[in-house]
Amino acid sequence: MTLVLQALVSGIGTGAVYALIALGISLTWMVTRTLNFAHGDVLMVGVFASFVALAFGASAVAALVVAVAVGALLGLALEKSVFFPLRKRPGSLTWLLGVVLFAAVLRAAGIALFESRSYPPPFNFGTGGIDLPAGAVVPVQYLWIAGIAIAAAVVLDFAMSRTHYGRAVRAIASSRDVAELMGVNTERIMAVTFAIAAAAGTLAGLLIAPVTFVSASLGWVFTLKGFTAAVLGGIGRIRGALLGGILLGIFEQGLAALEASTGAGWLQAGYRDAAVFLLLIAILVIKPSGLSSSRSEEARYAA
Amino acid sequence: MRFLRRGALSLCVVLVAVSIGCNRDDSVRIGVIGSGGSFAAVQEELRKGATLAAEGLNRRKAPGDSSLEIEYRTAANASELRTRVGQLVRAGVSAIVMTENLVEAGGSRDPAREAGVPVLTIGDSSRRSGNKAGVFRLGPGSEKQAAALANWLTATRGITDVSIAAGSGDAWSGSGIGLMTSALESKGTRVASTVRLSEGIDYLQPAQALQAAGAQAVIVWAGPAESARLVNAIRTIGWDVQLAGPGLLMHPSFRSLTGRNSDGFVAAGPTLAEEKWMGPDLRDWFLDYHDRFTLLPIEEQRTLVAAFPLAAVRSFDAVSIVAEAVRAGKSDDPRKVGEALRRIDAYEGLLGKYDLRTKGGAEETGAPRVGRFLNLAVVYDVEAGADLTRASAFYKTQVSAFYVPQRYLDTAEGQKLTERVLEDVLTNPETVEFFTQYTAPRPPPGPV
Repeated sequence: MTLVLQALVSGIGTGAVYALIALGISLTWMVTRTLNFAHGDVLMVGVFASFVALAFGASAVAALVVAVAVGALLGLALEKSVFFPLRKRPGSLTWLLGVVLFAAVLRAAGIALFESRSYPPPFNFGTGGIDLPAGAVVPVQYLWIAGIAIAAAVVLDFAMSRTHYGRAVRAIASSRDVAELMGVNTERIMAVTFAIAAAAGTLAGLLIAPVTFVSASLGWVFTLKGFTAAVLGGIGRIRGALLGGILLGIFEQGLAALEASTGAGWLQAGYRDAAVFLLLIAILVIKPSGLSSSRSEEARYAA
Repeated sequence: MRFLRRGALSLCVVLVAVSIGCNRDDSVRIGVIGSGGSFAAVQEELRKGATLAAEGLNRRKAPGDSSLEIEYRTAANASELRTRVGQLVRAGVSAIVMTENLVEAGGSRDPAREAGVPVLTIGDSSRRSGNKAGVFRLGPGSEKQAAALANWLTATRGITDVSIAAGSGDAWSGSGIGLMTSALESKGTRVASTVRLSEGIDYLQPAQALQAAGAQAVIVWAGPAESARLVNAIRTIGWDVQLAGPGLLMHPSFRSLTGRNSDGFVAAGPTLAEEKWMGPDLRDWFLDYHDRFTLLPIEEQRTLVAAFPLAAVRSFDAVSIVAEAVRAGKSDDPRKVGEALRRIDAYEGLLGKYDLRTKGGAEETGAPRVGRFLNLAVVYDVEAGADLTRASAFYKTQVSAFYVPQRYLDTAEGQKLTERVLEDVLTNPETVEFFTQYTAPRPPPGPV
């Protein structure tokens, strides 16, 4: 009972982080129809930027702002250096090479500057936990993570349906050429979208740091999880990203509960990841558009 | 055509001349490999310690006419480790310094052994190798650490049920369950449960599974980051249980990542000569290290306890020992260096006297010590018959910023940290105890 309840709590906590990352991946997908494989590495650089800010004597709030700003700027740089120059060649796979190289450079620079080890979190959003019946615990950290992920999803969902920016993103997602003909400044919208996506990712990295710590090699793990969550919920959908993230988190933690209840690690890290990707393949085969309904989201935005 | 032939011939002559020139390089090369996985935290320390040793020896012209060169490589896993060892062997190194040997890392083929290149391990090594196989341990092996922990938990602490959590990163962490189970069962202690950690994000469930088994102590056998995540999860669920682990967790990054959760954690550390720790030689070495690479207090914690780069000290000693073997053997040929190493019986290193004549290397000369963490410092007061006066003195030396170089404390950052710590001491009753009081552990089997 403890493990089941804890799987649910931990699943929602970790899933909320995946959701925040998936939100960014979904947003960039909407404006480019490509996958941003550098997302995790961009967010790691943002997190490390907070260390630098703190070392220079910045307050915690200032360091948080610096981290998110650096993440956003890096997202902008990624868009300007890789995605924007290739916007006219949607069929080309050059973007894939560009984004993978961008990620590799960030990772290599991170390891060169910060070595291969883990660092303590730059901020603690609360310690300890709230006891639940049957011995399960809700870490205070998870309350923050879930709260911020839900708030981000609500704000983005509102922005998509009620603001000029959201309408422009949806127009680009539908057809970039038509959007341009309608007077949408696609260049600016793409830049803003990459900045928002990277900022959301950096926030996710900062929130989960007290649990995972900070290391230069974590970016790729976050990219994979965020990508899985985005596809699971339906890539290009805000609510889908939230749903996909939470479901992925609960599925992973369910496996962990199964493993913990049986003892000696029969389901080790690699196999657990394999199980997650098997789930992804199953979803893609059974429901390629993801678990959330695209029609209902479009109808909601149209209303 | 004739011009092309002449050109090709000239190129060949130049290439041959260059290659002869390269082969006539009279420098002595020592390979250093920083492993990933559980040992990632000490990777850079290995390089820094070796570099410092080579620079010092070259300044003093200690290896004679030759100069020492460090060939540094990193390896993320066992297969990469084998590749790097092969590369270093081909590069003509006289010896290789690394955290663990290839057999321990899960390999069967060892290019160093095949080529007769001696290997000095500063971390762990199993009994499957020894100095006859060309592997020289400079610290106590995993088995000895496991035995020391089992002995302390059973005989001193009076604990009868122990759970074991092993990491997932590599063969070393995976070996923890087997080693600890044998060591505990030989003492008549029950292994309540075992958990193999998976590289998930959340470690609350393994912590709860361990708690459900009802053990009185948990052995955490993993790298510093993975261990810290489990320890933090155990404390988050409010489980006040005795925690213990191998010497790798003496690394400051473990205390940096766990903070006050590290209080009471017991580790079977490397054999330490206490007079060395508190002596001027090591302090001078730390000053040199600080000048070259910067030595800071433990990160992200309000403390003046220095982040001892223990692996750097050990790799410094390792490179110095190889240089001594080159000098004594009058050759940088790996096989002759290996023979000279086998004759070293009393090399005075920074961490003590090394005797490499015994079967398994330096560790055979002393058993691992068991110490605990208190306020982020290390205290050797938990063993039966421990000298509490010396333990207290060692503790106070650490928390008094003895090892943090004054040059760091004089910087703006250092002054700010000192002010914060002093402010804590003056205003926070809990931290008054940190700096002023030392409490000997309660008699076993009292609570942590």
